[in-house]
Amino acid sequence: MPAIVTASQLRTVLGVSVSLYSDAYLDEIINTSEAVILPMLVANTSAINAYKLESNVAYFYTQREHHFVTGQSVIVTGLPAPFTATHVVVDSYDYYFTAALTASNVTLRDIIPTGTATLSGYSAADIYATSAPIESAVLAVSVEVFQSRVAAGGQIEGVDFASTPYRMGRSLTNAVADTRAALATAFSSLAATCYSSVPESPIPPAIVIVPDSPYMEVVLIGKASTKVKINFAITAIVASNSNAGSLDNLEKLIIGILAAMPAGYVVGVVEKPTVLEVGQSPMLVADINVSTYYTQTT
Amino acid sequence: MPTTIITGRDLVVTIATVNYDAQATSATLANSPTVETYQTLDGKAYKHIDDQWTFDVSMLADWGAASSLCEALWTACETAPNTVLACSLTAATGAVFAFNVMPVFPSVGGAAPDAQTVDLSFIVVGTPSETF
Repeated sequence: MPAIVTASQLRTVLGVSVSLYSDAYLDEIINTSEAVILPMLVANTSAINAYKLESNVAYFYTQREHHFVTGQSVIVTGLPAPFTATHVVVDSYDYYFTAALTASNVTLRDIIPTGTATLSGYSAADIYATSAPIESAVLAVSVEVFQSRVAAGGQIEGVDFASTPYRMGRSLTNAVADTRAALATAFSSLAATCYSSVPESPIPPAIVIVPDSPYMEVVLIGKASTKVKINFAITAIVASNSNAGSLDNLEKLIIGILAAMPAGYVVGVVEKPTVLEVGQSPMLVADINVSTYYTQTT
Repeated sequence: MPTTIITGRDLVVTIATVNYDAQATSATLANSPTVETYQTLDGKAYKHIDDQWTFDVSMLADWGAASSLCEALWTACETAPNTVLACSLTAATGAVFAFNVMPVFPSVGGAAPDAQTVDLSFIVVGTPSETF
């Protein structure tokens, strides 16, 4: 549950209605931003990097000095049972503290990732709950998380219908760019310059990988992760000096592209050649339609 | 009340604890009821006799891939053809259908220009149980 700001506060900042975005949806976003910000704040929390149990006494070893004192109630999380619980500190030393715990002996062992020991009632969420600067920071990050979710294609549209990149994260666009780069790498052995995006002036012979229309299609069920079918057009380009020679060169280039096509790409039709004028250089070009299926993993 | 729209992107499919979302393009649980019609002196009378549920899944084939779903299904069908597989189909959050199906072998192959696909039609054993 959010501790610093409420869904209602975030709703006011975003200016969105409850019928489009429920409180539960906004709570998830706030939880994400609080999980980012709160661990960075100074709090009565210490990381536990090792633990053991001897003669019904639990030993918790902390990464830094913990400052807990005897008699304080400490909430331990992130350790296996029965260590994850609320303990009363019995003995306190600079880098470890002990608590009564009736269970079988456990030899000293490290824990990765580290557990946490938090003074009961004094976690970051508790002590910064009414801090205006922290509240403002959580709201700022929440807005960014919201933007990255609703503009997952990398673009948002303003009230003037002008598209602008959203402000945080370009992971999807970068990852899709990776799929184009993978194609470009596969064609690197061919006797042609390969571009994973449209160059200002291609030097023939060349291969240019560009988005096709429709660019992306949602064809798989489920939405736990973003899964799309991506359509590309691979443009084969040769110099157009003589009809017969240029056509022969283009056919050779196309056959070479088809032979080098990596696994996981569905090859469609090859469009008819057309003449492209770039400056004073006529070029003969043909598009090869390919598609692949992309699942976002990060 | 706002109009509710749910889509195929809301679906979650699990067969024998394996999640098929990453490869499945469609999943449909449907019933074919058997209803007898009797012509009586008072007109037609109807009697619901039986239900036969089927679970149809279309998916992209993933033979040879690590943790292949097609291979998992093939192995299940080969090793225990008469043992039902527990399935779960979530239509949307808050509407989950649980049922058992008889295993079937996935088809193999496809047309040259297209991605290989597998269409599965499972016979559902009994009646699905719903959780709303």
